[in-house]
Amino acid sequence: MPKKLKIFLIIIFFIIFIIFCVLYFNYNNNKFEVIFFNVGQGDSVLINLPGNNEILIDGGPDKTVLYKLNKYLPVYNRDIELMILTHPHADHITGLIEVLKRYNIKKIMRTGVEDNSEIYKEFINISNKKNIKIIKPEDFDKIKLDDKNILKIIYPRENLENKSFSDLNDSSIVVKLDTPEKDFLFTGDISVDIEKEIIVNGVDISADILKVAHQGSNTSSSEEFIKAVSPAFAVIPVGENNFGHPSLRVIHRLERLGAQILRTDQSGDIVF
Amino acid sequence: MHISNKVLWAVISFVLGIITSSFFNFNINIFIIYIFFLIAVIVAIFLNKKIIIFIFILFFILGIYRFNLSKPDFTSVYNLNDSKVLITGFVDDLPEHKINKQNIILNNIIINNKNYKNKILIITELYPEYKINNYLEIECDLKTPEKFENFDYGAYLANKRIYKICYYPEIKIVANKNFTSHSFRDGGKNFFINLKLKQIDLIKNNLSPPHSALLSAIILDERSEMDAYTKELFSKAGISHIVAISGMNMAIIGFLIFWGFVYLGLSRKKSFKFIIIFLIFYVLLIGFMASAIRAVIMSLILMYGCKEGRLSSSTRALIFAAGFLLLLNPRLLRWDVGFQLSFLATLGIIYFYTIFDKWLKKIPEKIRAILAVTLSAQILTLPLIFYYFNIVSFISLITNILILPVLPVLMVLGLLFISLGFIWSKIAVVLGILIWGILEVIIKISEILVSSGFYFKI
Repeated sequence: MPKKLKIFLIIIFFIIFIIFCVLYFNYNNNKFEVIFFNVGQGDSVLINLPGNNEILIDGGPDKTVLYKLNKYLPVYNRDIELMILTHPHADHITGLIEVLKRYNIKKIMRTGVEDNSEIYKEFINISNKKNIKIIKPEDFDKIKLDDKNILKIIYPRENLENKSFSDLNDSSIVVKLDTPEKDFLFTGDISVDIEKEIIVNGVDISADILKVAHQGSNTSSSEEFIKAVSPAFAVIPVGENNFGHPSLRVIHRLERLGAQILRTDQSGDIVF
Repeated sequence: MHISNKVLWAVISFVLGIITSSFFNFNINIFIIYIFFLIAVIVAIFLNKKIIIFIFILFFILGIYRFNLSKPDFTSVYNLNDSKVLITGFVDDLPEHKINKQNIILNNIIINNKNYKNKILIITELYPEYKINNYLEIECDLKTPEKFENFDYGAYLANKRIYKICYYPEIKIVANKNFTSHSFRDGGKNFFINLKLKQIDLIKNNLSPPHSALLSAIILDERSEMDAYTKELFSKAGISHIVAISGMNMAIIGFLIFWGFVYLGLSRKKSFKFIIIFLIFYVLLIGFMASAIRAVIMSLILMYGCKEGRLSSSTRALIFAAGFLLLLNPRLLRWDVGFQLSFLATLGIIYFYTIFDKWLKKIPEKIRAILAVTLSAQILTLPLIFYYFNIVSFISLITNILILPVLPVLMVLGLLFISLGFIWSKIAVVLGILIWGILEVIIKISEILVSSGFYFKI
């Protein structure tokens, strides 16, 4: 019996060893990735920085984002350094609630804009219960993520706490990720009005990769704004919908201004 | 004839009665039963000493009668028209949180001031999340469940005594049932539900879907998080049975653990004892769930045959178990796939294991046991799987041979995870990684084999 037991234990330890090897080689901690998740009709972006440093911008309309995080993050990494809720519409917030419950979130950036939806209440409840630190976009011009990468806050530049908006899309947080190689602009769901405001503010919004606002709706992405960004790639996170997203006019405009269109409904997850 | 044989025949005729009435529609009442009973008595008297015929007829009729009791009666929700109504009732079981919706089962319902004994299924938005024991008031547009392509959703729900569905109604939480002041039974139920919730949370906090969904399905029978992709993948690979606590599953797991013990040098008697302790611990840990108890009964029956060294000695116990389970719920026989698969898989192992074992003589002993058990468990279930899922998976043999041996390991690790994980969170992390690894291997094996395309779908 002892001999057989030995063989048995050796096999078990061997299996464990293999699993850890697979884990180690599968996940290189030093890679830099920005992933636009294919979560259907909604937005969700993961910025995966070297050294287990992650930023999750929005969570999409259902729990699909959990599958995506499982796919792109190693199993032992249950921490997300920063979660950004651009605005509390269901197609941006729903997935975040489940992420809040199951992952260890260090900070949340949100505007605190007024919204009475059940889903937003749930979000606030859970973040309060878990005692997660809240930061406001207007308190920062830029956040140093590490020695190379910077997150710039473009909009909003004023306190929106408990402010009511007729169109919540216009309360979206807009951020720009500056890296040595390429810049990314994440626009939430802002409409043409806010695009104008941003241009007037005179901040540098030029970027190599643009997340097209509001699933490519024709209420966003004005000619002037796209010219100011002048992206090489325009990513449209979009799924099946009845709103006619993305608008053909917007697609033509982006193409005319030199951007290559990438759609999550056609290409799946888009990784940079 | 020996007395136990008479009991056996009684059970068999009872089951036959249920089979007959499941497939043919008898509207039987007490009067007809009485007449049959008289006929039975007369037959028994005339055919002197042929008491067996009397027993047969009597229990056959009892089977039919038991089945008739399970039909929806005229006071049930079944007879309501599909219309707009106001319903109040308790959330009866843990709501299922699916990927984009929430399924709630409402019990003790009141519609238009009338009490009903049935349940109603509510499908609603993900948030707010409703909890067990919430007392809800809903404005409901009653709908009768419809058939999908091949799947009789209505019959499936009828097993759970659900005859109507509400899609996305207005819901108000009116009150909460307070358990502490109630009976011992309610207190116990409450305790185990809280335990289960904690276990689910523990899994969710350490793993993400599909791995978390698979683990909860395999050890807790909690399948609400399972996604369509993984479901389809597993059905093509022929391993759908592993994502449920079924008799089929538990029989195979118990069998492999039993032979593992025997291989490590324990006697059959001792292995049997260890298996019993393991299964009892398991049922305790996951809170006396009906599905688990059913599965454990099947497993124990098989283990008994293993201990005796003659699998066929389990037959009698299997028939008694089937009779008992059908007495509790006769609808299982025709409308519960899990019950059918469990019964047939156990029966298959009992009768075909030795045959396959002989055929595969040339193969080394350790692998042979695994091969023989997978083959014998599948031989009777394959036609049924084809009938229900319209998939014949030619690769299922390979996937099962590769995957079934790790199932007991997964089971043991999973149980350690949900028991030790509470005590020390570091242990949960390490076990979580191991479990993730095993599940990842299972998924990858299925993906590779399914991509070969050797399955046949109508």
